[in-house]
Amino acid sequence: MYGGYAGRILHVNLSTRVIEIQSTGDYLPQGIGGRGIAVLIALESIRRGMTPWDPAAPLIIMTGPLTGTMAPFSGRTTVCGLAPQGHPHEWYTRSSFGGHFGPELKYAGFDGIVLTGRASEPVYLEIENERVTLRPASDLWGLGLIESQRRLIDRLGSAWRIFAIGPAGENLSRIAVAATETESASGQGGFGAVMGSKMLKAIAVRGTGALRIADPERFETVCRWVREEAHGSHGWPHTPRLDPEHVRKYGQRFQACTQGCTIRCFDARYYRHVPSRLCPGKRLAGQIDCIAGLFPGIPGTFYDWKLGFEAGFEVSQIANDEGLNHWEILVGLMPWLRKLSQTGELTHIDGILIDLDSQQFWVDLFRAMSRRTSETASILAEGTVRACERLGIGREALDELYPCWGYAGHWDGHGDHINRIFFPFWIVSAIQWAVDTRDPISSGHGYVQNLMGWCLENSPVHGIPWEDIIRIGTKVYGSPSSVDPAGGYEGKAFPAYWHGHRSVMKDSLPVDDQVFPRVFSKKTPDFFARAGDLEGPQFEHALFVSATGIPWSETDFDHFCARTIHLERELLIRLFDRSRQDDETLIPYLQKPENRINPYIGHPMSLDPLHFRDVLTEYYELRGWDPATGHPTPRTRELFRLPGPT
Amino acid sequence: MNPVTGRLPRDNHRLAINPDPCTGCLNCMMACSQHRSGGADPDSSAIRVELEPFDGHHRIRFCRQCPTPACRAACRFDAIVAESGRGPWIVLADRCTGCGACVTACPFHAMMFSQISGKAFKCDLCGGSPECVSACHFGVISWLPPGVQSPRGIPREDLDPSLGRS
Ligand code: SF4
Repeated sequence: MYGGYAGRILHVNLSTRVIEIQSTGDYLPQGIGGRGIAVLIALESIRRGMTPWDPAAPLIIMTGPLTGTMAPFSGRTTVCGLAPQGHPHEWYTRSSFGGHFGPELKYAGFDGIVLTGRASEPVYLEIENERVTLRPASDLWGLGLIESQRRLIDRLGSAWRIFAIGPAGENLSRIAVAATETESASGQGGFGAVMGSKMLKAIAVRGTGALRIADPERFETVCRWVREEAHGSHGWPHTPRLDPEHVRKYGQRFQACTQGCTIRCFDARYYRHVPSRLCPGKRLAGQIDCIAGLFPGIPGTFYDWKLGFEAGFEVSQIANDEGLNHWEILVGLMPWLRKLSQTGELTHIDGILIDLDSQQFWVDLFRAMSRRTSETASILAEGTVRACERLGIGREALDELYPCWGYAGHWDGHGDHINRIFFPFWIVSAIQWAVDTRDPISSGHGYVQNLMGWCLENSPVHGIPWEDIIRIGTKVYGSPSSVDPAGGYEGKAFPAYWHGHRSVMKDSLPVDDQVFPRVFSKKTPDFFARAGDLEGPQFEHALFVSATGIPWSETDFDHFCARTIHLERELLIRLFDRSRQDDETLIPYLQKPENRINPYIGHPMSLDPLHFRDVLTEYYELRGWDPATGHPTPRTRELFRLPGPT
Repeated sequence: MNPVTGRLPRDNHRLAINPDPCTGCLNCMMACSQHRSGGADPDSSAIRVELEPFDGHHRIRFCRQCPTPACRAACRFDAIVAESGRGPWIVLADRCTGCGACVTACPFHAMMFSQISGKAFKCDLCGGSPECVSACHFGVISWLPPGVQSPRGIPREDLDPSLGRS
């Protein structure tokens, strides 16, 4: 067995209670791990006509070779399967999570878990090294996601790690998460509902084993280089700090959102004692990561609800406990409800006034959604896109917020107003969105976030001038037009192609999306990231080779990424007849004016469909897909040994 | 070690922990285990961070290199000795019988037990350059000369007074 792997994949059939073990070696080296292995399993087991609710539909929970090692930013796990949140089809997709569950699973001796079947009563899966047992969970069913973890930890011990669902997952909400600790969720996709449909409340794991590293000396050296180079989160040039007031009043701390994180993150904060507004005298503790920072609202912006920090924090923890998807709520559902309430299309939900400034409104809505206790709330639990269809209202507002596939806007310059991006850079996001099955930014921040974070418009003090960005961008993407703020559609296909590969790497090793790939740096005189004998974009490959001993060149590694994308495409063609026509779904959404104006252009831009179709064609040609159909060409099938349509 | 008192010299550097800024990243444990075993094996780490994800107060178990350690006093086989006569305290594997008396005796829960070797093991300060210190990027673990106090609380450089939100 190669280094870095535990060597076994656990297959659990919840209907028959049969537990089987497969060698991870069956998928190595060609699958690597995470998303790369998941698609190989999916091709074997997902059949046309299956839905996420079909007991035979697998839920695939996969770590990768770096999970649980000392590789920086590597404690992650990728979840794959048919996604209830997907629209108009329940597309096969992925959603990764952090925390410490994946590493523990590997110390227990497993690289992943494939769940099929449906238990006849609520169960949880207990894994303690070799010993794998399905246990009754009727006493946990109905409890919150955090409360369930607490109960299991009380029962099993504090060293156990739990991956669980809340009431939203039990009640098959399409926006239900599965999560570990207080905030590390497999969020997009609705995989919490897939666990719920299988009657699986939680997976508890404890492992005491070890992972072998193929070349410990080189691995330790590369880890040190990467750790020391990766100085800010999000590729951002500066290191964030804590708010002294929040430190004093609420016990604010930096918190690793996953094992192995060595940076002070913009997003991940732990709060040790925040007073509860709903239960006076009670103090709350928990983590706020990523978009959850928006729960308090930011008056004067698009997200102008006025909950304030304490109420917003409490609401975020209740959303976590109910097991609801933060991105969907904050970037999609709530702005949509506000627009509907402004136009008068929907002012009350089952008799309750829509009031985004009221903490009670948020909490009541969450509980009614996750427990499906009232009619409209139950419809909202299907996700905003399906709620819009079912209720027959709010189409215009929906078209402003949701690009496609059932997921709210994300770094596309239109739907989400939180990320500061302007034309022409969202053209790359648009290609990424077009060919994906969810918001692609989950592991595709690399282009937009790096450019927008490092430019002086968004980082006036710590950023670098465009001429340096263009110099480095030309080195990485081969053309200055790929990063020229005064540019247009030219040079955008290649970054989308390149970052598609980086996304597969990050979901397969897996490593953190906010940190990789390393491109810009404040630690080198020319601002190009490098450390030791490596350039920033080589870091992932160097970690992979030294950990596993798989003797792949960078070209081989790139070939793996491309093949994974082809295999995922192949799966979508088999299951849903995915085509170029589908890929163009988001064009009307992007034809509206962008949110932010590029100072080098001076007026808001919107998508030109003709130009965009040309860029999409360019992307297909780079990818080796037929521009007419969006399917891999016969030559690509041959080159990548694709299984072909069945 | 003073042959009369059995104490370690007073001028030894020591590990000091300020648990407040700990993020629970476990880099210290991974670096320690990588150093000790050449692999990723948190159970072979001689420093332990016990995560408390539901209250945020992670607990860190580490060896204080006590001047007159309870573990040493508990060992009936004289297996715990001061390396090179100066410290740190180490467990001599060929004397250790795996009875576990030292593990029970350590008030800081810093004596570990290997299920694989069946013997006790502990922090040996990596020959004077502890891996955990360089692995921790949050100022939790320090390697301090005698007389220098361990910092407490959140490091000043982690605070931005201009934030001041409420
Ligand atoms: S490396 Fe530092 S911050 Fe991370 S777990 Fe260890 S002591 Fe805590």
